[in-house]
Amino acid sequence: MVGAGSDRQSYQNMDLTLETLTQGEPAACDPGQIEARLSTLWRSAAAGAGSERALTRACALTLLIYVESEAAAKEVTALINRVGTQNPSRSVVMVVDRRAPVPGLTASVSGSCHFPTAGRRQICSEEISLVARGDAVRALPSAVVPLLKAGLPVYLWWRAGRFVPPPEFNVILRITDRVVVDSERFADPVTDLASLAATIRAAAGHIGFSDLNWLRITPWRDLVAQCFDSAEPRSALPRLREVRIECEADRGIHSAQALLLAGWLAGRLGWRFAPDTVSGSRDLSGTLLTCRFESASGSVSVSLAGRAKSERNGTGLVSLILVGGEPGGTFSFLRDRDKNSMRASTELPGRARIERYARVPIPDEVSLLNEDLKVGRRDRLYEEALRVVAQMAPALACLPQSDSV
Amino acid sequence: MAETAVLPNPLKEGLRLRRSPEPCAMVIFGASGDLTERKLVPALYNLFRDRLLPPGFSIIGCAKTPYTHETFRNKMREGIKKYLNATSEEDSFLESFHQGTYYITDDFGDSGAYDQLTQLLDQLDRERGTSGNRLFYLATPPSFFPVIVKHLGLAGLAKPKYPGKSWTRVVIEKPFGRDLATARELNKIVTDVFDEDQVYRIDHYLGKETVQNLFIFRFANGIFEPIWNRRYIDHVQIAVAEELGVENRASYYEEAGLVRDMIQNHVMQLLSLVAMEAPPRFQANAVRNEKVKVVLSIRPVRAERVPDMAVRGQYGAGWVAGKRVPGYREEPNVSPQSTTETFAAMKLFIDNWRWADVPFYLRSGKRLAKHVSEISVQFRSAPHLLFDRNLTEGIEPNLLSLRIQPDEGISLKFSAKVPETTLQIRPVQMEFRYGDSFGSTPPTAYETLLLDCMLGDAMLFTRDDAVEAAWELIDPILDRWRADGSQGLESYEAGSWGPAAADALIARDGRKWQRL
Repeated sequence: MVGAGSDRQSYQNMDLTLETLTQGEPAACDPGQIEARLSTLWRSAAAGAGSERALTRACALTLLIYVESEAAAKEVTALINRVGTQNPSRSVVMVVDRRAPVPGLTASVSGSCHFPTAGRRQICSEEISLVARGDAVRALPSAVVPLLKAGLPVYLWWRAGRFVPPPEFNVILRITDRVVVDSERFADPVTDLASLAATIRAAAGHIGFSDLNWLRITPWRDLVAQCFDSAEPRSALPRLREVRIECEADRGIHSAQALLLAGWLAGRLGWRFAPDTVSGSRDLSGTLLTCRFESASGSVSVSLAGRAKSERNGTGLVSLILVGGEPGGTFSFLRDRDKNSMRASTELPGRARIERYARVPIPDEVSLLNEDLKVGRRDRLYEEALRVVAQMAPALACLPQSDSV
Repeated sequence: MAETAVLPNPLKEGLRLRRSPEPCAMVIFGASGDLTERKLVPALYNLFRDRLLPPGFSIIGCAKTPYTHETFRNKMREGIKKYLNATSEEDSFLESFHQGTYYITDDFGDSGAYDQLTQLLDQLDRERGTSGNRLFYLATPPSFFPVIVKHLGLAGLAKPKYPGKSWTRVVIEKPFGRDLATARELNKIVTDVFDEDQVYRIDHYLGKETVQNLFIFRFANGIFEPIWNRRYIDHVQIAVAEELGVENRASYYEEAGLVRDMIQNHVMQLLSLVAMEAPPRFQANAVRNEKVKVVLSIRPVRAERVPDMAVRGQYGAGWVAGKRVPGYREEPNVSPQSTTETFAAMKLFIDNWRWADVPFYLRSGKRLAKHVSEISVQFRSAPHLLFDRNLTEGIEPNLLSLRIQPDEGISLKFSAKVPETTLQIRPVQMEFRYGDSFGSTPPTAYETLLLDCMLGDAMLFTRDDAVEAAWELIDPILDRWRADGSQGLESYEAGSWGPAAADALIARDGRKWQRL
């Protein structure tokens, strides 16, 4: 079902020209005519080749973006321009607004251009926006699928909460190579991560999944792994007895980052979750969750401490402390968000403390997405960590709800 | 360090980042020199800051200049600030980096200094967990290589401290000799003390991302390899052109010349990568075996054939990028009668089944029209043209261009019908540029190579047999030129594409240099 929506009116005075395209101005068009309009436009661009306006088109993938409101679409449009500088793509923003009173499917196209280096031609990417209101959501996939660039990979950036694609999206998922979610947006990280684990299992490897939040903790995983490179600290790994993770989050211990980090450690080190050992609260600031895992050499206590996010520092992991059993050893990692750095220190019996600072800038959403789009393969470590979180989920769900410890 | 058997680090598996090496100590001989301050330490600092070096990583600088640990740290700190534009925001990283920086005053021939070095390395193993892993970097002039290598051997530092559990490697900067005899001599000195698999001969050119991309282009794509042979390829051109003159390297350049500086190493590496067979696996020696086979298969240029196969030139005064520049003989520290070549072009043949009778034209020079490195693969023309000769005069053979620098990329030229004509055919170009498709900045060559060396990946380093094979090929040409003196040394105007004799060299075969 294709019809004119209110946005169309606002685009009425804007025709699709080379000027408007390179300036990133959206121009309304009939959803069935998008390819034809873009084709006309690029022909006019080719005619300008050699002039000061000379530009070229680059495309390495199709990026589908799922959002649930037009406000979210505007937000994402501003971000896409920056994606194109590192991952030239055709992006298709799919706005699914089921509750809109008047059904309709509208489309607009725009471009974003940048100069890779001074004196070079402008590199331009295409951006298409499709807004489906009410029942027109059913028609959305039929407008999207023909827009995919032939022969190039298709990424679906799920910029909403829990990954629950509407049934109509099956046709899109069938031709999607990878789904990118951001578990930072999950309303209930424990349940939503467990749900994602089930979805990944059901996909059986046909679609890859990645999580921008997993990339946020990559520097943590990286620094932790490096600390166990030399023989002496590595011999402490099987004897770890205690893991303390602290994070700042809107939802206290409900931090997807903390859960994923715990899941990664447990998955990598072969620990088994002991469901009867969970205690604590699962709400709001100042909370503490403790549980135990069983390793080959004994029991490991894992605690997740959450505190309310501070204005200045935002959300995310704050510290990680790993404590070894006999003969001892403490490995601590502390984030200094003001300085975009992390401090890692290793204390082993009879050895001087080794401390180091490493640069860990706080990446924004686009930087994370750009990094993720460059890696094509399935991330089995993420899947492993998710499986651990899914094992923890039923026990965590039984915890009493309270506003404080 | 306890010598305990340990399992691989399970936390390292599957990380999507670049690999980071095991803890180690790096000893830099010639640490007070320019290379250390400008390239090595900034590269190490970048790696450290970006979490690519392990905790406990330590640097020991060794040089004649009498520094303390602190004065050396300060000098390196200043170097990092200067060459990386590091701001005060980075002070905590710099402080952390220099906690592992030390210095030993050493004239390279004093065994006492090597005892001191041994003690310090043992101390770092205990205190910073460097695990007996050692990397010795010879950043000195080549004349010091023998004495350093000998003393490392005498001090017992050349062998791994914990055999099978730790490693010891030595990095040698080019030039690797100045001819076959000196290269063999150097190789013998080094391999009398170190095993060949401990030796990493560094040629920073190979660390460039786009040089590595050549390998990926050829062997990660299925469509090129079937036509990558004498049946479909007419000839190959390799050009490495510089706008720069000799700058402040005149004393070195007067001794070396263009062929030793560029062709024997950089250009030969490019040629090997273009012409090699697919290795059985992506592993250092498998790749290096195939590369050296190419050089060994190049038809030797006998002395009497040198004038037909090679051209040398020297730049005179001219204009480069809008500026007047002096001729080579007018440069500071250059002899007014110098016969050192600043340009060379040559035609080589690779005598194997894949490349028999396909000429490889090489050219490289200083003070050329622009800074560019490119490999051009020209395919044979279509065997039979169906079209009216009058309408199809514009048809040119397909040309695949692999641009190494700048604007790294690949382009393919092919013929297309001009629209709205009966049958006018014109060449068009299909272009791919790395910068357009991948927006990120690649690591510097030294970052790549230092990291590879610490990881024990020797793929981008030159093996002794490859060095000797290249000299064996080049020596007769240099010998003939030396015997000829100034005879045959062609002058070319700075800012041009080299002497006219170079154009004649390729024109004799009915071909021409690609416009770069």
